[in-house]
Amino acid sequence: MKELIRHIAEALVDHPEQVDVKCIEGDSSIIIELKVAPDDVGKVIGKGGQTAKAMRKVLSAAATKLKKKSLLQIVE
Amino acid sequence: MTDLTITAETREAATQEALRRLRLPLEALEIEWSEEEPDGLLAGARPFVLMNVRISLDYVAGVVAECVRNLLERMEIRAEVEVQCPDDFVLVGISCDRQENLIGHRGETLDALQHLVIRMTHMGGRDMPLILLDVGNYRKRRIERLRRVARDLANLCLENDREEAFDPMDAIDRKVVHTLLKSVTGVKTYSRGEEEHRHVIVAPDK
Repeated sequence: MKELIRHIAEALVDHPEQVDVKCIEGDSSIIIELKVAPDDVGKVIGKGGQTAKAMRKVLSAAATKLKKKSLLQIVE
Repeated sequence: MTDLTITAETREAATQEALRRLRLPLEALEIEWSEEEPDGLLAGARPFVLMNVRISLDYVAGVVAECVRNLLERMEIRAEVEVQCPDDFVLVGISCDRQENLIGHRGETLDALQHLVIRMTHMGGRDMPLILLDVGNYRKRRIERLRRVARDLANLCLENDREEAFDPMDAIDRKVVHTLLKSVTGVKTYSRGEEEHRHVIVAPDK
């Protein structure tokens, strides 16, 4: 899951070397924390939050296999 | 997707301009040249070259297929990926297990994947072909449904010589309709309305 989000984020941003992803995995849920360079935040959120929403959708589709709820947080 | 026409003094200058505008490598471009001899008022002026540029569908298809394969691999989904280019679309067909999981409720997951792939490959520009992802012919069926409605409304528009409106649709479906009707002579299309009310209008083209 962590590598999935890292892979997506690195392709979206101008500064892939500043992408940082943390993963906190519990029994029933996975929390992914995505951090990018300040001027790249807009790129991972997208117009009207569309890109962040798309990442959450794709993450939850990937997480159903593990029968876990997923949560993506974008931090600055 | 539209052809891009550039005029410049030299082929070199025209090529640089095309690469700068489209932000693609040279191999992605299909170029046709014509030289123009200045005449009339411009007689005696320097000759210039006329460059007609199309983005290669094969190039876009290759880049997009690679992106989809990498993405599915990281989602731990075993899948076959195959690209077709009907009607100037780049249609990426995915076959895998548990297809409904990748399509999602009313195609939401498929739309999300498609959005990410377009952003990740930086191929969402106005001059780019429309990139569509498909799982188990879900998108194909949606395109065929839109094609029938588009044909009917275009015919009505031509018969009655007046504008016809589609129902409100999301951005992807609207783009599909614009692309499908581009090849129909005598009509033009545009979108009207805001947000969830935004819809395509087909109008006589005079």
